[in-house]
Amino acid sequence: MSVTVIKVETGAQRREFVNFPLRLYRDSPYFVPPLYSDEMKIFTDKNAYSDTCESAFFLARREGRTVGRIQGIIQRQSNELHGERRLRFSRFDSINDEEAARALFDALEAWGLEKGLDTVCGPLGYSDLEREGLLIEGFDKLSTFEEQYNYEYYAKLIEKCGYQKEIDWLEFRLRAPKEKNIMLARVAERALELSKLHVVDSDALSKKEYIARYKDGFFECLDLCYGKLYGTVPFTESMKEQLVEQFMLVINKKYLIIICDENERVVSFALCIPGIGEALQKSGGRLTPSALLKLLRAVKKPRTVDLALVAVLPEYQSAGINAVMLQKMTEYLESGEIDYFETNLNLETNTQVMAQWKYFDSEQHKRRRAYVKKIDK
Amino acid sequence: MLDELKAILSKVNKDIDMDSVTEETRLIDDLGLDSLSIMLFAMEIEAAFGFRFTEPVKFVTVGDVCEFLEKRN
Repeated sequence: MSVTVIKVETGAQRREFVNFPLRLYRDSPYFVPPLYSDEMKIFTDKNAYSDTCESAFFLARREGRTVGRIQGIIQRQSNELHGERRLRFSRFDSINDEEAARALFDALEAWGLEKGLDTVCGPLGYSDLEREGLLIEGFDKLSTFEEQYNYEYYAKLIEKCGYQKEIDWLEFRLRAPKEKNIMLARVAERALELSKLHVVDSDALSKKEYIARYKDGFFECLDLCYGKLYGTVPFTESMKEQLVEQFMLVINKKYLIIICDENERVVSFALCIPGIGEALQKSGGRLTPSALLKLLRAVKKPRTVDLALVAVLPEYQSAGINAVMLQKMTEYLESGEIDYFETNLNLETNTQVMAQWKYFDSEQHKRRRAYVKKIDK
Repeated sequence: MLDELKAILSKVNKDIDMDSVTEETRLIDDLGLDSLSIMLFAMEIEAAFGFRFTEPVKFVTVGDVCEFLEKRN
């Protein structure tokens, strides 16, 4: 029996859209679910991107069973910024079935053409801070909370639908350097002194106070540093609020380093998230009491930490400020407090960022890909 | 001066081919120094020449460093 594709409209279909990957990856030791409540929010006005994006969601079904899903996102901010007419595909999941994948992409592309768009790219989320990139290397490695795991066959399914590589991201696992780097601490101290900067003392503030005080500076710095990178968009106020809310639960202020100038302007930060993947796996992303307990324990005393976002304002990028973050990371690794850091996604063109990993015992263990296809003939 | 700076550069990065370093050599584009290495280079210059920079260094070439140090002297 052939595949039919439906556009998701009802509550039951929305729940099925969110539940399908949880079933598909039920037995995978590497898949880390997103928070269930965050996923259900994407269908509502509570989604902070609902005022700048338009979405459509599709399910593929055969003999009454869901065999795949896909989301299309029209990121209007990004399209206006770059003068493009692009449709992003996101949340693509499928059984290993070409017909199912083709049916989903056909439906998505038809919707895109209806909307006057000429190109489809993905997998990309609403913004750079969402899960993005198709895993193409590293299928035997545990995902981080910030990224989406997929089976190895996905690349072939997508490529058979006419999609080609647009850009890759590389990911690294960082362990304590084999040889102690005695210069790092001295360089960090001197770099701060010379540029008249300081590391904010997070011990002096509660997590809520710390975030409230520096979040505007954090987002300003983020916009300035990430603005030109592939897939990024500037932050609206509602996006900032949503992100702070989403991350509040999983932030341990010990791993959020903020560097300010004499006027308390944020010039650099490193936002690292405690490794909570294992804590979330069994619950399917639902914060049941026992899942919440595991999560909070992992946040308080993680064995691994994920680099979520790191930024240094352009005017300070040659000033050695990154030594501060690298030195802190090295301290945590050498003390044995942390087993390793996960860098998450580094654009393959971002050689400046990747050059820093030479200060660690680093292993490039994953690769992700964004695909692209012209759809107007 | 150039020879002194080459000796300092070799402390910062042993892999640099010093025979190829001239005053026109660019620290980042030719020698591949990252911001940490540039900071380290600045600290080694401070130690070698007995002074402290008062603001972040913005040298592009080895020649820029020579010129700065010669003016200082």
